[in-house]
Amino acid sequence: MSASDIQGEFEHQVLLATLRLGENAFTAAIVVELEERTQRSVSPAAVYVALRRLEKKKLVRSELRTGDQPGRLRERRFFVATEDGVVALRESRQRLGRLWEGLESVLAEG
Amino acid sequence: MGAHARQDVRPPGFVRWALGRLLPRRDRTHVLLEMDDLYARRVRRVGRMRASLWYAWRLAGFPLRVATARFGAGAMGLSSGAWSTLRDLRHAVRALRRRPGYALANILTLAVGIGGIATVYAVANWVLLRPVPGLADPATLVTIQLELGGPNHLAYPISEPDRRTLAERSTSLQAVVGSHEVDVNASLEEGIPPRRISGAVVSPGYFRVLGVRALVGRLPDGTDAEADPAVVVVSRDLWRDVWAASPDVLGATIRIDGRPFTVVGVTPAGFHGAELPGQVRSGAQRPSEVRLWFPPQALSLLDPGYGPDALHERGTRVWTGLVGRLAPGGTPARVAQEGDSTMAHVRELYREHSYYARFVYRAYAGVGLSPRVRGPVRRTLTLLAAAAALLLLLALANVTNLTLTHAVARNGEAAVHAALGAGRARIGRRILAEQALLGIAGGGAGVLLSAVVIRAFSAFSLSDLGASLEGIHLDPRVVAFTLLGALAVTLLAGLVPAAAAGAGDLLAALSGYRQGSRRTHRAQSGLVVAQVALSTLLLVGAGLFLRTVINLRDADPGFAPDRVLRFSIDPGLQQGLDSAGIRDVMSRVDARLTGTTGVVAAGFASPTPVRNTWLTFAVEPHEGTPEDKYVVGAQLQVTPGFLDAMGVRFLAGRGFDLDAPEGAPRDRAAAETVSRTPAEVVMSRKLAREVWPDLSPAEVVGRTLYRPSWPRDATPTPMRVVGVVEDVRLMGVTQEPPPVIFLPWRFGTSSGEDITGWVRVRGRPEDMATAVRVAVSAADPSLPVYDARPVRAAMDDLVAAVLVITRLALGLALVGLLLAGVGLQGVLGYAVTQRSREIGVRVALGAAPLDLVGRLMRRGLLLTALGALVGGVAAVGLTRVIASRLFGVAPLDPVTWGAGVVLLLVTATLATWSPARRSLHVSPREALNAE
Repeated sequence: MSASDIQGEFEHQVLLATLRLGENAFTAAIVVELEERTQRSVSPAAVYVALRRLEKKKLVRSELRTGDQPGRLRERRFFVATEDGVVALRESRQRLGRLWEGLESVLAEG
Repeated sequence: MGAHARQDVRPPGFVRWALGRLLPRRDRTHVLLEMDDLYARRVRRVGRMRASLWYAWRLAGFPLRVATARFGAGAMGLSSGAWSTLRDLRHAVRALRRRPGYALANILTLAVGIGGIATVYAVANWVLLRPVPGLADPATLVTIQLELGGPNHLAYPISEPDRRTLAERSTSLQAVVGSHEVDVNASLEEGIPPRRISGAVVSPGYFRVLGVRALVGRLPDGTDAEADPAVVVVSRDLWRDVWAASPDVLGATIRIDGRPFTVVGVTPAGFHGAELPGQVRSGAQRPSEVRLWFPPQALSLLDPGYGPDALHERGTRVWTGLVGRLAPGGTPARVAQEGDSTMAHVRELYREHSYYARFVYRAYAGVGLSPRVRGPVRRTLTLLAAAAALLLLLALANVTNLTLTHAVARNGEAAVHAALGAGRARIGRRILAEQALLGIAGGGAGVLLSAVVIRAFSAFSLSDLGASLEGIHLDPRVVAFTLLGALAVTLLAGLVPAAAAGAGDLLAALSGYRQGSRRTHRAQSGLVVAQVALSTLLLVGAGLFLRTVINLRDADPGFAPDRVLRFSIDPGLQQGLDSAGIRDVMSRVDARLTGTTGVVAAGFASPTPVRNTWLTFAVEPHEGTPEDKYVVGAQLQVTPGFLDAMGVRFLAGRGFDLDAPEGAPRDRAAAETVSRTPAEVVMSRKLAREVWPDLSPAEVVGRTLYRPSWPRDATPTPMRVVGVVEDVRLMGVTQEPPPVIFLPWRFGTSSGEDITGWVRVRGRPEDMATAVRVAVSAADPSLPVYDARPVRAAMDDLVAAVLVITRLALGLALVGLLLAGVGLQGVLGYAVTQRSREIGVRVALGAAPLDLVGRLMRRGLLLTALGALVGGVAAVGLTRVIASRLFGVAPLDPVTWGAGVVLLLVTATLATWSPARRSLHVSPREALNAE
């Protein structure tokens, strides 16, 4: 694996959540999305750290913008998945899929 | 995110600001904003309180995570040293979470040890070290007393002219002030019945010399003889309770003993005179705090014992509670010396004050605790401190033990780190980080424990201690002390493991070879021995106190306390009753009570609660001129039925005749009206011995003594002894019985003091309370009866103080025993682990299980015996220190010591149980394979 790969399940999740949120992906929103989707408590600091790592690996990019939530005119840092990031996700999914092959019956819930 | 956050749901401002400082600069603003949103969401889900906790926790986690994510020190704006400390802390948290048992044991041990010390410190601070509120520059104040010498430290009052002379002639004093306590019936509000409040008439310049500033209004100086005497200053808590802290209090009129007084000022918070609030006056059970202050001119209005010229008469003794302000260079010793020379000077000039010859001046540095009480209080506190120090040592030993065991187990982990390139210093720092965390947690737990114990304590008024713990609370000094202490203990305990970390055979450690060094094992055994020794000390002390308490309960008070009900009654509280009216009402009550079914005898006594005072008589010895006797003792005016109700034992003579004339009055006002036929008196054995040392009780009966009169050249009042009784412990069994004189009483000449009724009944005293109330209200429906309880219960209260100490000591001892047991178990368990190979071999060779267990138990008992021996020797020394506090039990009492030994044996046996069972289950094959 190269240095620009996604490392760990959590980074995966953060990147996926960023993709889902599209234009509205700021840290707090990602936290909420993750908590709702994974049904687990998520540390905002962990999300923050993961986003910065992803940015360093150029899998996401960020920009400061004013939000378009009604009634609020404050600057936030918004994150967007880059092309490389989408590619990395795709590849990672394929890799996992190959490993999962044939195991559906074993891992399926009874 | 769906609905937007409401603008008004913001996280706690301070937390937000403080933790915001810890965020990387570039992201600070918007991370805080994001956290605001998440906070608002959380508030909707779980409420404000939990959201705030979550907020603080998460925001604090930010810097730790960022630091460990290795973005580099620069990103955080921290130095690399701080950065790695944060990392160490984070690892420490993880490491401790993996070993919760170890962490918990440490925290609990610390909580108990440090909490114990903190509690004692808090008590000492409250009772002894706390500055008296409201005074200026207390370091230059001295307490001055005119005493008879001896251990009693009872203060004799001095007159106003003598006070002025004392101040004028003393070069080491700038000024001397005094006070005169009066208990008054105060009617503070319209329509509310009057209540008893402690007040004080104060000498000129009182507030000025003490440096007390008025909170509201003014504090009269008292130097203007023309000023209106009917003014009063109230305390802050009274102001708050009655006038709701409104400025309307100034100029308000209140009725004191039926007379109108104008309120002119309020004293600062917490000020109740020059003594620490909560002083228990001799013999009283609850502390009384002065809440009203009157100018000197009001003396004759409030105390009928003093005429309008009292302040000008050199022979009229008024002021106690003398406080002096030192002049620069003045010392208490010089003050006392100059006081004595002033006294000599006064005797020269004014011959009729020859009674001063026997008195001496004493000066005590500082104000706060009355000299009478300082010694006993200090001694008790020293005891408590010693016990707590023992507990702390125990805790330290335990923590060190735990750390050592843990360190050996940690060797494997440390070896891994070392293999990965971490320096020894790094590993050592990790260990210290763990210790620091444990220290803070343990200290915090100790503070909590201390707060709980103190809350429980504050319900006690330690009348034996002479000081009240009402209102005690933890102050910041105690909290800081606790936290720092815990931190110090854990860091100390962690030093050795930290220094030795990572050393030793790397390979061996990596392959799981967990043999600790012999040195570790010996150190642990030594610690256990120390723990047992300390526990022994605590056990012996606690056992002796327990026996003392039991003995106190069974001690003979000199009268028959069972089946007697006592109650308080105060006809003076009734407005509109003059002394003739009071006499009427009380006589009716007395008659009714005696006639009630189930009552064997009933009587009344005043003043109560009983307290020590100066008794002065003139006595005619076999030959020669009458000599004056000064005795510190108690005087009670009693109705004829009282001695029967009390059940005193007569050594000679009889009680009062029903027709006996009333006893000699105590105050000048009634002196003029008393008859000249000798009054009858009954005295206690001690008093008889003081007055007539050479006579037996039977010979004392029939003798006469004289009450000095005012003025001194008038004919003294004669009193004839008709009976001598056994000494009565009127002020509790822990006190030596005072010399007592009983005077017959018909409710006349009462000076408004409290009256207590005693009723001896056939059945249970509790059941008689209603009957008593019925009898009283039949005599006067509006007369309240209060505080009705069986005498036995009241006496038990006085034992309460010793009970408190005993409970504390027992608690400490049992905790100490527990800790020692845990330590012992740890050491033995460790031994089993270390020698599992040896045990495996033995089992393989067919050793009997009992043999294995026996070996272990012998080891455990050996350690215990060693510890008990060391502890026992130390305990012998200890008992000599506490011997004065014991009652009815010898310091080397075999029963107590024997019980202690048994407890130790039981603990040792229990402690070896679990390791013993483990040794039985060692499988030979596993043990040999682990090699």
